[in-house]
Amino acid sequence: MGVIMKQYRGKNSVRWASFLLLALFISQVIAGPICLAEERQVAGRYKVSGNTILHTITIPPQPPAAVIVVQYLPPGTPIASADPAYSSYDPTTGEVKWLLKGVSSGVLQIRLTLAHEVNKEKIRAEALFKDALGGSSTYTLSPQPMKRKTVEGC
Amino acid sequence: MEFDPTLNIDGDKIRKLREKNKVTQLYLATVVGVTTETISRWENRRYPTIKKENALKLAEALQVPLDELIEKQDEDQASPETTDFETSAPDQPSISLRPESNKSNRSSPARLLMLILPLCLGLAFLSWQFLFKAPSTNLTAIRYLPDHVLAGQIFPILIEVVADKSNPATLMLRESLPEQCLPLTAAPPFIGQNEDAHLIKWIGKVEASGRNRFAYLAKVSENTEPGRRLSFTGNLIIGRQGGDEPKVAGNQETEVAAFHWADKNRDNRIDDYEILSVYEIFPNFRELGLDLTEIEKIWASRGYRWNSETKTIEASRK
Repeated sequence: MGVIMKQYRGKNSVRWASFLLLALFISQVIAGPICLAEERQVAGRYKVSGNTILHTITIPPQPPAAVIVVQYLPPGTPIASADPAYSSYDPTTGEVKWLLKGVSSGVLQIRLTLAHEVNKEKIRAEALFKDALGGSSTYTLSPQPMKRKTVEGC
Repeated sequence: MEFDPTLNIDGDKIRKLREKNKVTQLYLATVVGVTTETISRWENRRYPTIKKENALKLAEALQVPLDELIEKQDEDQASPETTDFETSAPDQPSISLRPESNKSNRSSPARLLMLILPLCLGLAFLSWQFLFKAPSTNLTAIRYLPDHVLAGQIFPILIEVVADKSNPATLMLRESLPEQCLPLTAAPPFIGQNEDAHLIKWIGKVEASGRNRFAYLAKVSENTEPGRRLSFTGNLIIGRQGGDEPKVAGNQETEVAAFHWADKNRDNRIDDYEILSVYEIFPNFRELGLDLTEIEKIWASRGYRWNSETKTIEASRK
């Protein structure tokens, strides 16, 4: 009986080892490209405090040549100041854009101060960039605390 | 009357450097602008002096300073008399220049040489088989050329050369522009432009599995009529022996039209993805001398229109 148990345990160990190897292989095959894709993605969040919107944008280790950050405000919202200065603002649509060139890996911040407070539910933001493979990507910047996270590729 | 300065060159050194760089005589001949026969004569010391202009091109092609190609006069066998004689009679075989007295002294070594020579030739043949018959590097060159350009506009062109996994390669890239276009600047810079201003050349290197980018700016002649299609052709000359001359693929033609070159979809706007594409394709725009101010201005505005009378682009206000 002892011998049978030993054999059983031995077979079980082999099965467990095979299972672990298979799991490791699958995780490498699936997780590898995901991690690689993550390394190439620009990400970010923004925080609304009173009449100030603070964006924190994370530039990946393989930075794109340029990134466009778009802040959608309710049309007609007056802007008090922006740091860095925005590249364009269309008050009729409420689109504020920053063209960030020559960015390097790390974190950068954009501070937008409005003339008055706005409804947090009526604003949104995006980061647009070309990834390392040349594909166009849009990252929806979510407000803090995080409500949603969407990475779209086209 | 102008007199071209000449230099004494070391033929052995040239051959060794050529073999070290794994480039053919044909490649050197094309770069310098002489025949393969001339290269052979330089290497075999049948033309020990060459024009300084050619020596500079040769040094550039062999990727060494000019000094390295100059013959050192303190070597035993390089007597000034020999050099002068060879200069005046370039086709004379160099063996006939040896003094007669030396011939008798060298009779035994000559015999030895007769024995060793076939062996060396055999070894050289085997080396050639094994070293140079190795799989040649496959290079692919792809041109990015805008689909359309405005008459009188300066626009960028990019040629990307990609190597497969086999070996690094030395290459020469030749690009021929249509007569309505003139090349302006390049990154990396062109090597000497010919009398034909529409033919430009670069020398470069691509690492195994690597890529190299050659970008330049060109200007379309202002009186080129709209609708005219302008053709660009190019090819690669690969240094490694046995290499072919692949053509530059990708866009071959651009059309003269009333749209900015960066406005890919011709909607009189430069949208977010169009401006991001410009930065992605030409990250070295400053080095190239490409001014992107106008593109940024159009992107930040509602759009643009081409004023055919003033021949300028007018950005619309937001």
